[in-house]
Amino acid sequence: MAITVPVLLLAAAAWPQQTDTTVAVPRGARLELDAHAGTIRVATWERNELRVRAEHGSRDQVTVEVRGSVVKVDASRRYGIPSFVEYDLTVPRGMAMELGGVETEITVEGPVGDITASSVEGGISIRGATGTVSANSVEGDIVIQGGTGTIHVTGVDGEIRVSDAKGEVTVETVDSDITLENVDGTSVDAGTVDGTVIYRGTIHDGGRYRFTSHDGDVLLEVPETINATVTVATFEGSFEADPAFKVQLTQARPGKRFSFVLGNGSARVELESFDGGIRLIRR
Amino acid sequence: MTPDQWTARLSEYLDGELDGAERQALDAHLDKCADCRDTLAELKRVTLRATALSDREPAADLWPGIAARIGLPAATAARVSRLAPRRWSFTLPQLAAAALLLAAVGAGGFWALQQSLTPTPVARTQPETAPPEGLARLASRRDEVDDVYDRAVADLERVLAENRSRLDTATVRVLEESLRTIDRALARARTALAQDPSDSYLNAHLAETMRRKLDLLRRAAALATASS
Repeated sequence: MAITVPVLLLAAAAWPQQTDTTVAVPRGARLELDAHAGTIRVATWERNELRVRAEHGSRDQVTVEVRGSVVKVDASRRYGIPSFVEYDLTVPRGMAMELGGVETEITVEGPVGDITASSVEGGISIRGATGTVSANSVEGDIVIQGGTGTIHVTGVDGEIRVSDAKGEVTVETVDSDITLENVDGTSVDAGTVDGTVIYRGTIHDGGRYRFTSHDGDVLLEVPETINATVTVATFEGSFEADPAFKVQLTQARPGKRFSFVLGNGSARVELESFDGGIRLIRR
Repeated sequence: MTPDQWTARLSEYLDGELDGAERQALDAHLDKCADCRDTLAELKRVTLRATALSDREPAADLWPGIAARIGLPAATAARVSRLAPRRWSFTLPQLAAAALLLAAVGAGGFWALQQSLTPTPVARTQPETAPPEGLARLASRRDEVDDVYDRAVADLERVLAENRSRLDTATVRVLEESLRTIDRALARARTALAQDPSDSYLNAHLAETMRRKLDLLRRAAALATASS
């Protein structure tokens, strides 16, 4: 019996409780939510209201506070930090937001406005952002789909994938691959230390593109009709181009650096890998 | 001399080492070339910073400034500052100078790469000896950069070590593994550079990898201190 009581108390503390509340939010308001552990899922609707549904421990309290143009969603408990909260938010279309967490998975289905999302141990997935996107995770994968603004992604150990996006794209990570698929940007910069960088997209006249890896391959898959001045740099790696690009190499031995011009050469493309393969592939 | 080749002479220009005719020709080129003007302006800034580098006395406690640089809110910074007294052996201007110098060394490699860009469909290799003077001058400052960089890394590592217990062990493991990945890349780049100190790509690559390590350490330190 002496054992049963604490167990029951623990069970009660862990018993999920639900919060479901809807508040009116000012037009142009920004959402702020800083979670500890759990999930944050965001969807949109046409109303100028924020609906917060949350599943949490019975000792936790979820609050929504509207202060000026900031809507803050928070979870608290009298002693300590709420251990695990699952948020399901429905926000006005185009709402800007700042979402963060430690062990938190973040999923956003737009269209949303400017968004900053950061997690330490969780993944981040953002679809349909229309403004600036900033996503940052240490261990989780980061997936950005769609988006028409500036996209800035920073990872460490999780895979990074950006697809169907327009705008300026910057991606940086350390121990993982980067895949940029159907990206239509005039400025794209993607770099990793130990991973592969893949870019499949367009090269705009006058645009600037840079893809780098230390210990991985760099693959650029673009139409052979691009106008670009391409610089390739490597130390112990290799370079290979699809014959369709008609690149003429005079270099006798692999490695080092060289440049060549495709079309009128108006875009700048830099491809670098210390000891990986660099490939130019026809799209 | 073709216009692009002037990029390599900007450092001499800045140091007043061009003869009259060359200086006049470069002046004329600068009037027309925005890229070279930007590069020259950056070189001037780097030089100013480098000059300031050796004149500054270390401050007693630079934690608030460091915290600001790594993006910590003031309240968190103050809380962390109270946790453990620290001794800092570098100044914020030194950190800024290091960042600028790293960027400059990196940019030096980039400038050298740009020199090869001529409108021809035939790929050209870069000459592997006789590096551009400007780059050589920047490379010669690497010892100074390394010194500031090493101290910045050591201090950030100290912040991380003092606060690592606040991070989840799995996160610590990931961060440490990623730092080891960068260190391996740094070691390989340094080894390669020792064989070919004038290689502009290697100079730029080393600078960028050093910058990545600083960035990761800043992020790690910010995470650790913010987790209190």
